[in-house]
Amino acid sequence: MSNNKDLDYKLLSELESNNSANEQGNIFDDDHEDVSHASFEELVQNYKINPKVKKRDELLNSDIILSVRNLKQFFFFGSGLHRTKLKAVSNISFDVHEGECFGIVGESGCGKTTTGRSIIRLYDITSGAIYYKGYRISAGDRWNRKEIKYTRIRLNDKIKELREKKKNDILALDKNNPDYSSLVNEISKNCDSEINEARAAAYKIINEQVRKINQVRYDNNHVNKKLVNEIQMIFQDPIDSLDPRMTVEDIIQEGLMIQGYRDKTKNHKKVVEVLEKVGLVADHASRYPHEFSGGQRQRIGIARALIMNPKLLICDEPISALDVSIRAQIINLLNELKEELGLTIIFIAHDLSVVKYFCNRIAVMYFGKIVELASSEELFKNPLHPYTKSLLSAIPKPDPISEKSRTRIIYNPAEAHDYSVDKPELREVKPGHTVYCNNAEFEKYKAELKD
Amino acid sequence: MTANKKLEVKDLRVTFKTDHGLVQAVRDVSFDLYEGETLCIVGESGSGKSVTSKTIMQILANNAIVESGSIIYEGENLLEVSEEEFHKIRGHKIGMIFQDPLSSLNPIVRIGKQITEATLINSNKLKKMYEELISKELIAYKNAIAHANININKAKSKYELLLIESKEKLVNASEEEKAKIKNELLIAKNERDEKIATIKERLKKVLPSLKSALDKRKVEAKKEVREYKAKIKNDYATEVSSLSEKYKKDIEECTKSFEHSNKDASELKKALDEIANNHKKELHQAKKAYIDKTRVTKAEAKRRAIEIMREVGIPMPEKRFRQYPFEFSGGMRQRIVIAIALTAAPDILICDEPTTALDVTIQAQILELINKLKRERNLSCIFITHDLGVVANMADRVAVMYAGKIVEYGTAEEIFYEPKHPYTWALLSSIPDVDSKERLEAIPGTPPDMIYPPVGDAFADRSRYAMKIDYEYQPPFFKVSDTHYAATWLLHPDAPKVEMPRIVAERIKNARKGGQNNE
Repeated sequence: MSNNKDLDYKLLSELESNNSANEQGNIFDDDHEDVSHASFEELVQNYKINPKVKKRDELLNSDIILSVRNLKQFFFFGSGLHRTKLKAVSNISFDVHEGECFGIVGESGCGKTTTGRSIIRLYDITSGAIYYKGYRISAGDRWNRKEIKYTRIRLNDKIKELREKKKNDILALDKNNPDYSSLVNEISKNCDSEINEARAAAYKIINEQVRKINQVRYDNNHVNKKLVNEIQMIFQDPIDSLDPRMTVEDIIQEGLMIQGYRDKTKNHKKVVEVLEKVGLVADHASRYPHEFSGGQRQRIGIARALIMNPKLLICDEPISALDVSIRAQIINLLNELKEELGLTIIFIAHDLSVVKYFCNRIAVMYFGKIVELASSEELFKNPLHPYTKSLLSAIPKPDPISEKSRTRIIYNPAEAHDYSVDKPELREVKPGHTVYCNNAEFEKYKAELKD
Repeated sequence: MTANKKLEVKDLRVTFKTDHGLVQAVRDVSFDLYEGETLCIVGESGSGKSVTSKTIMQILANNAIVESGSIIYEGENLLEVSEEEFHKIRGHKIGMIFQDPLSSLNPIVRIGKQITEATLINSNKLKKMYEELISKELIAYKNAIAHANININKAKSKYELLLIESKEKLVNASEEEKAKIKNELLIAKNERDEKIATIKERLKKVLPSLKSALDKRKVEAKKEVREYKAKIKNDYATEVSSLSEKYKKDIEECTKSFEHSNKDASELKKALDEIANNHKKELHQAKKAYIDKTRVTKAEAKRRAIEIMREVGIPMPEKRFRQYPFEFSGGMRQRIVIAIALTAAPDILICDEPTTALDVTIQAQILELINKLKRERNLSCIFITHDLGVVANMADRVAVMYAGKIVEYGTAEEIFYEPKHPYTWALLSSIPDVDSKERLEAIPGTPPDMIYPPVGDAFADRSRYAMKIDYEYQPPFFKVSDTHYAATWLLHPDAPKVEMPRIVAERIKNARKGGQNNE
């Protein structure tokens, strides 16, 4: 217990040797499109692993600490006829490099908090996969289920078609032909063999998908907890996120207790250490949350995350609920901790100036999709997507002259884009600057960048 | 500014009684609000900005004591006005928008009902007329009582404050001192009782005459209203009878003209139908005019509500009218709250952090809406916020509050480009803007405990520029320009010259450059 790091490595190696399934688990389920194969032949032919996927070795050796692939998070309401689907996050992918600060911005309801919560496994994700240090920590199976469903439908269509053909062929035969029965036999035999072939091809796919679903289930249930503990979260509201009936010490060491560290003296030592790290004193450990001010409570929230020795910290609007004069304190504290502990931070916020100040790279989200992803300087210098422009034009500045002459750009997706023919996707306009666009827009943005 | 004063707050002191002691939330706050301007009050939570606005609206909690001060609106001190008279001011003259749109709307009542509620409550025009006729006497009567009550409360709270103070003193007092303090208390108590008794006596003298005047007026007013009602009823009846006579005449003429011609019977029927229809329409109009004189109908209220919903930018108001608050997004809900505040057409609008719960784009929309409404309706606004970006957008003048006191006030340009108070500097430097890269200058520590407010400058404990005098005496307002005042000893002629923090200076320089470029 004393040497956490050794333990981590031991467990990791164990995981690597025992869980060969996991190794296979990372080559599929990743980059996929929605099932839209027109015919059975197309389905069978197109069925192959997407070559765009990074191999696991590649992930292990690179500095990518977190890789989110085609993450989808749907929520379902009601039942029967009233069952509705809410696409909170639909198909987003991004990589977070070690030591960087990755910002996610967007208006409320765009799915940025859901993304954070999905990464830390507060939700079971619907589809896609999340890799932490090259290990898949979470995956969804909706796509596989859809693949099975549509394969079945296509197969049935195919079989129907073949049977129809057989029937027509038999009808077309001359009944007076002496070889009539043998011809019929031949046709039906051919047809049967064709059906069997199709079935075999389809079941190959189905079995493969069933295997993958089982794999996803197994992986989700057998994630290395040590690994997942390295991801911690700071919540928005420092008042609601702390249990009013627990002392600060209980709150902070709760994670340790859950993970089986029950030595109270050692835990207390750790609590005091971590309290000092976030700028509180040891005396505070025995108090209750209501005795603290907003800024101090947020410090407690940070301490609770830090005690698990995190490598990746997800900050879900950590300063939105705080007072003006306290915000700077918390931002400075997070900055110091980042440098001192070598943390990687995913910073979720809607205050663009804070995100700009704090983050290396920023992803702009709009209705469950990432619409633009670039380094923070690049994003503020050359915003390309109309929504980003609209967002940037809405930042209030503490400067009356520019503020009073400000014109806000209004974003109306129905007017700004025409996606009826050409479907959009995330494309790299410039190295390190990706925008959600279709072909025509891609060219337009490129021209815009050149000016 | 040459415009006339709309609202004048002078030396306002508000204290809250709590279990832990007396919280001095607002300490000697004074400011003026001019016609058509926006005054922004900035400060962190607990600095007393919301309490100030609630005092203006007279919606303070029960444990609040207004110790001293005056709020003058249209020549009247709002602190000495009875609740009856305040009904005419709250909402009608001074409107308010609250912070959280979700909790200020009733979740189980349709939006339409919530908007029309205020109009429908005052819908009976005859009743309103009666109330207006007796209002002068009624208000005089009620104000006399309210005035007496306020004075009695003042006397009581003065004694209570003394009691709490002396309790603290008693803890460490010797026997002699204890006796002395107790004696003082006894004297104070007697004084209080005497004062209350005199107030009550005075009230007893005045009341009967006021009451009789009121009763007399009531009888007169009732008679007047009854006469008015009879008159409009009579008018309506005569109009109806004249209409029906005209109808009979028309029919006769029509049939006569048809008798001598050789036209079809069907055409005659058609012509008669037309006449009947016209008659019906006229009757309907007459009835409508009559009803309009007596009360505001639901349809009329709905029409007005939809008009106002369109004005605040709610699409498809006819459909939205029948929806519930949960069916609206945050920005739309805030628009509804603004619409409710505007139904009674106030001329002062108090906005208590209306955009804090909203995100950037929606915030910008709401600010634009408030600015537009302000221009169109010539509203005067008190805008409370802690976001300096919002202040820069909205404000004509800014008051910076800290620990229950205004520490600096001036026009927006003066506050943002020539700030003088260390707290304003700290506020300006503590928020990163789009260009900042260096470490932020956080304000160390937390706001002071207002049960034991600091003796000198309240910000001294957290200020880098604090001098010895800051801990001993409260700084008065030093004049920077005609419109710009700051309460800091740094402006005293004997104080050492201090430069504002580098970040603030740089930012101001950049802003000025940017401003020139824009021009």
